[in-house]
Amino acid sequence: MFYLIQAITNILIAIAYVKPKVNYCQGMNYIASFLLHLVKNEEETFFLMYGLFENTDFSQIFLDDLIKLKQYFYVFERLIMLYLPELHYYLKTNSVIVNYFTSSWFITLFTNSLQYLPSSENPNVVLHIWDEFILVNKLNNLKIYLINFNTW
Amino acid sequence: MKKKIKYQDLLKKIDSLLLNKSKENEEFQNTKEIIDLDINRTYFETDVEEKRKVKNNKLIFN
Repeated sequence: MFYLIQAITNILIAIAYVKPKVNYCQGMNYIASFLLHLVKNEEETFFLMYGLFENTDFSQIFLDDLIKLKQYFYVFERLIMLYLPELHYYLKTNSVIVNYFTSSWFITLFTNSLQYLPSSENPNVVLHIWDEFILVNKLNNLKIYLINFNTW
Repeated sequence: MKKKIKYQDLLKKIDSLLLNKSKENEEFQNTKEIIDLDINRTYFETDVEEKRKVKNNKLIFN
């Protein structure tokens, strides 16, 4: 346990060092932990996380006072309104703001909300989402979040 | 990906930055502290909410 905690700390501080604009934001530890469980190697985890920030637009959500994240919130809410109007109405009438629960989806890429179960019979949903995210790498991958939302 | 980054060298460099308590390194040292607090909260459920609110202006969950 101690080794894992130390490894996650090392990875996160190293990311903060090599990506100073991104620095560290709450929730990144879930991503580091997820990747570390996946590859079981601290150094490889660092490079995977570095690649995630370097080669996708994921890091943008942490920049400039989280402007991109706020944009995601807005687009996501509009998507709910367009594609799930009943749900949108329900949320609205109960004063539920989607940011409350979607912020952690965006920031941790579902690693804190969908459990990673490598040996389970359940499909590894998080990895499928990550595949989609890395391959598509566009704002329109918000459809993933919408599908996820709809199935709940 | 810039594999030319030597991870172990990077960690050594970071260690020396953290040990050197200069003004220039203050922000980086704060980052390390925030990471520690966040990890403690996640894995050991320690009560660090108030400290984090003050220290990290990027926090959005609270």
